[in-house]
Amino acid sequence: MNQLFYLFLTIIIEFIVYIIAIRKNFLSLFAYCLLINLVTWPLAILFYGLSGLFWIIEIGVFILEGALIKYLIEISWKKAIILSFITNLITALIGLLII
Amino acid sequence: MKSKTILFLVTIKIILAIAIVSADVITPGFHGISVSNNITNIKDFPDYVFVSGGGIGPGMCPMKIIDDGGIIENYYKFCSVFVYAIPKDKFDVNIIDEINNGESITNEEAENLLKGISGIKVLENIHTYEEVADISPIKEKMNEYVIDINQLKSSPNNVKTLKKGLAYRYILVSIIALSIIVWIIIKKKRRK
Repeated sequence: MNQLFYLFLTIIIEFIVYIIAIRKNFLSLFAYCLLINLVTWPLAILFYGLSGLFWIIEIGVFILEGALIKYLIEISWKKAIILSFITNLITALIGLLII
Repeated sequence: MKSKTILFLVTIKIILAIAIVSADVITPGFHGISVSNNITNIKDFPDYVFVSGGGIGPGMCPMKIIDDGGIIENYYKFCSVFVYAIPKDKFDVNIIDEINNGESITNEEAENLLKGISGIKVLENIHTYEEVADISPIKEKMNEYVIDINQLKSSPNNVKTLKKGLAYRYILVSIIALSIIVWIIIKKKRRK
């Protein structure tokens, strides 16, 4: 149950950052945010549980999410990477605080 | 002045009490799993008796004789256990009793007593408890050691883990979400 709450929190935080950065198609943005997190979050949690390498996993998530944002939201690589970096930095720091 | 001293002593006592209590508290989001440790080639050394123990003193981590099955018994979670091989002709069970029953005997003193009966340290840094993240699929862990009398080992040769089915569900969710994303991207490209 706790894990689902963290996932929900991550999606909400990332969605807010997406809204601030993109400022259009809110419904699509939410769907993309949900899908992206459903790809990366279970894998991140799984690998963290197996290895405990928090920051290495976060870097992997940041790269994967950057690519998914680029192709889903159809923005430039630069913007996608920045967006992914900001969202993951915020959620990673919150994650660290919770852990 | 006197009340300040009392206050200082009370504060120190509280800090110490908190430290002792928090040592047994599991980190939030984590849970403990049992780790079993097994010496797989113990039968190759019929001329030796193997004893385990150590860590934070024999009081908490007593000396135990390892039987022919090679399984190292469980210890308190903070014990960092070592294993000594003692030649059968030099082995004296009274030494083990002396270590376990001795008042405030240190770890170093215990090791010196074992060395005194020609004990050779073959394994160290063994733990029978580990904390893993709540989401970790690992349910149980088994460390397997292949020992060599002339070599001190501090890590297992093989680690077997018993996993819960939860991991597969997580991977499945990821795969489904990724498939939907790929489908959306393909659809978008076709439109162009």
